[in-house]
Amino acid sequence: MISRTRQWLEERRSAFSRTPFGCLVGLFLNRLFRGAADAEAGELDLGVAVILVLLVMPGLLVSLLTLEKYGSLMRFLHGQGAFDPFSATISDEYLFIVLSASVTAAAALWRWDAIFLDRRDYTNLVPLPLSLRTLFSANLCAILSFAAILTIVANGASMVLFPIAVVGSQPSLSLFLRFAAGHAAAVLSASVFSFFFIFALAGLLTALLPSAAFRKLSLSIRFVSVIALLALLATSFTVPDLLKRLSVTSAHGIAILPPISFLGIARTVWGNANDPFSAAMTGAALIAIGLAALTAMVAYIVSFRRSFLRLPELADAGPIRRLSRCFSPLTFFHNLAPRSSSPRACCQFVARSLLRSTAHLQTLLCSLAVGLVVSAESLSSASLHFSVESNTSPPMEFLSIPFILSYCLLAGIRFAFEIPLDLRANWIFRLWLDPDRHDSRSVARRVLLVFSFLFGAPDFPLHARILGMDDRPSAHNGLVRLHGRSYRNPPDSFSQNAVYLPVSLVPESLPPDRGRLSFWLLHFQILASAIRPVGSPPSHQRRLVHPSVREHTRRPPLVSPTDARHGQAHHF
Amino acid sequence: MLEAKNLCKFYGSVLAVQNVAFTLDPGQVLGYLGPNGSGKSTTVKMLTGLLEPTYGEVTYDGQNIHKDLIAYRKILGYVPEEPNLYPHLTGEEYLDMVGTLRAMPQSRKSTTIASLLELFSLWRHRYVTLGSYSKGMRQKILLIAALMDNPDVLILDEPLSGLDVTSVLIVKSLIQALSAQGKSVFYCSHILEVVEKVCSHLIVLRKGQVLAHGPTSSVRQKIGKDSLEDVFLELVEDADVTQIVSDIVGVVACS
Repeated sequence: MISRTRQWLEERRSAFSRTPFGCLVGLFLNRLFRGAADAEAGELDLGVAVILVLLVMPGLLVSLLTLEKYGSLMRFLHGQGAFDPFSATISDEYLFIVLSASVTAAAALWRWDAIFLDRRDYTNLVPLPLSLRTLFSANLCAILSFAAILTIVANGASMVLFPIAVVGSQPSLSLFLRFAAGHAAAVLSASVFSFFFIFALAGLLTALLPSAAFRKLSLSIRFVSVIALLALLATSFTVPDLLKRLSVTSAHGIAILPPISFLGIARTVWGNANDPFSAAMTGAALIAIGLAALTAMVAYIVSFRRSFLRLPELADAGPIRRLSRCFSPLTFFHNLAPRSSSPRACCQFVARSLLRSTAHLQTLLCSLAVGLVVSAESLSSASLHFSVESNTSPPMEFLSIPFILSYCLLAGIRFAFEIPLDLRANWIFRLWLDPDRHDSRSVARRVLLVFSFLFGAPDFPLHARILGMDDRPSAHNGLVRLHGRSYRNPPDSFSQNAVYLPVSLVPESLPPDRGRLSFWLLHFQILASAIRPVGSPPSHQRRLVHPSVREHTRRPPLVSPTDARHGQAHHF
Repeated sequence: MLEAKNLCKFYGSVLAVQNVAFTLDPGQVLGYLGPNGSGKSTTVKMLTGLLEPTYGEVTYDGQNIHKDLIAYRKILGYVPEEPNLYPHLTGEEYLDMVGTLRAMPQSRKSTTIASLLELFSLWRHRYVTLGSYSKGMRQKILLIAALMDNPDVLILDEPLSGLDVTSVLIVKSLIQALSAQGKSVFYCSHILEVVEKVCSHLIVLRKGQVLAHGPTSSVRQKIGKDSLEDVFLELVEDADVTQIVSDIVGVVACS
């Protein structure tokens, strides 16, 4: 029965993909998952499976943590005899809502450039016998399918595991179903809202701004959005408590704002439909979803008419113009690079490589955003009443800030180094691999070390001096970098040391609430290591020696080894 | 028969093309020549229906192409100037997509793609993604995509760009063979010697205006020059080429 259904579904899917509309939907959906950028330009192409795994991970991890928290043994040990799952889980429900909205919005922000049709689509598709209406509706269908996939995948784990964790041990099936339905409705609607919010934002900017201006502002807007999302995530632990402490009027004013209002949906499904407070929150949440969806649709239509249909009339925007030299962040680097010509050129090459594309910049800015938000959260819990003159000891949270920022930056650099480079231009690694050049290895190592040094928060001693602290942060900073020198890949060792050394060398630098900080660092580490397999070093080296290995063969080629060799020779 | 009637195109207040008129009969190969910025690409976009002319119209068999653009594009094969293909698709996947979007029957589509890939020496690269193709290989894919549905009208914008010598010879002969079969070919190029050999008729454009139009031999005779290169220089180029070359050599030598 199952195999017959699967076969029937496969036949339907195959028949649909053979129609022009189905073919277009498949093309656009594939583009949304892979991004609009050129694979040949060395952009990050994680593949659909890895993206889906990354989307599942946050919900899965937090759900697994709740299994322990709501286990019957733990409840017994805490002396919680009578257990009301609906009131006891409000703070976790809010955490899941925020997590769901953040993950979906982050994925939409990541694929922001691929949501709307671009010049490549115009060149390839418009000269074909297709109506513009078909292109419009096929892309809309792909966007909605993408939103549905994101929503389901990002919340799939929590929709199953969280109800099991909370009410799995209860004998009542109706209670379980009611709880699961309320949770699912809340997190799914939060995801839908956040996707449409980002979709609307991108659409409005595309429709209102000239193409070149949009491309220039795009990265900054995404950086600010990521900070906002992370800040939202960071406050998810405190908002439920804050609501309890506020007066009824103030709480009501805050509760109707998304994403807090999505708690109302869960409460309504759980049986509080008659509660006016829950009803107001639910109404506000539904209005927010409706408004976001409506704005997104209007923005999509306007941007299609204003941007896509006018593409042949618009001159090529070309690549984003680099900042003038005096304002470029690379100026600082150029000034401090080694004086001799070869390492200096290598340094500039590494700097350009690391910051050369949107994917690289996104990675670095994202890691910086994580660092900023975690630092802000750490500071928010610290007592800031001290002064240098009175020799009052500064709060220990200050010490942790450079480490947090450094760790996040180094992890970002580490990840950015993994993003494939355009090997034809990658002459520093050719130097490295050239057996006749004995000095190449040391040059390359020195270049990477200098680069990491300059990037890795050189303000530690300054920071410590200004605040009148001792030299332990500086000592640690130096140790991390010296230790990194003995490794072939300094950023890797840096990121590892940045995790462990703060704990071992300066134990008091961690804030009192270690659990929360550790959670963030662990989370970031897991994410970074989950993505790391992209371009493993051995394969990378093989590709460096033989550029033809770079060809992305999608299926096993049905040619003999002799033919394959001819193919490589031809490609050279 | 494809006909351009007094085509004018303004981009804002800038006049890109002015009163361009010609007829492209079946079996005719019309060369379209002009320096950079002369309005060639704008004309091509109007002929393919990507742009609507500000004044004038493009007709096919007497009917304005914009009245039934889908039917017109069904009989049109177009090779754009830039091979801006989807880098994540393989060569075969891209052609399969084009065939599907052209609503070609499955069996005809498969056999045509396989045969053309083989003939254009791309068969062993069919599972390689387009992002890894060289420019010449991408150009071949565009040529196959334009030819695979047996179009009546071919609009080729610099089709030989990036091709190797053998492929250039094949494409040049192919254009003449297609013209002998009654296909209309609009050939836009900078390579004068190819235009001279391939095209039966010629239009020379400068600053959006037609300077010369007619059979290639007749244009040459009218200007009184032996080669098309001389004709082009006579009509289009104001600058003294010899003087520019000597200036460049001087600058290079000084530096």
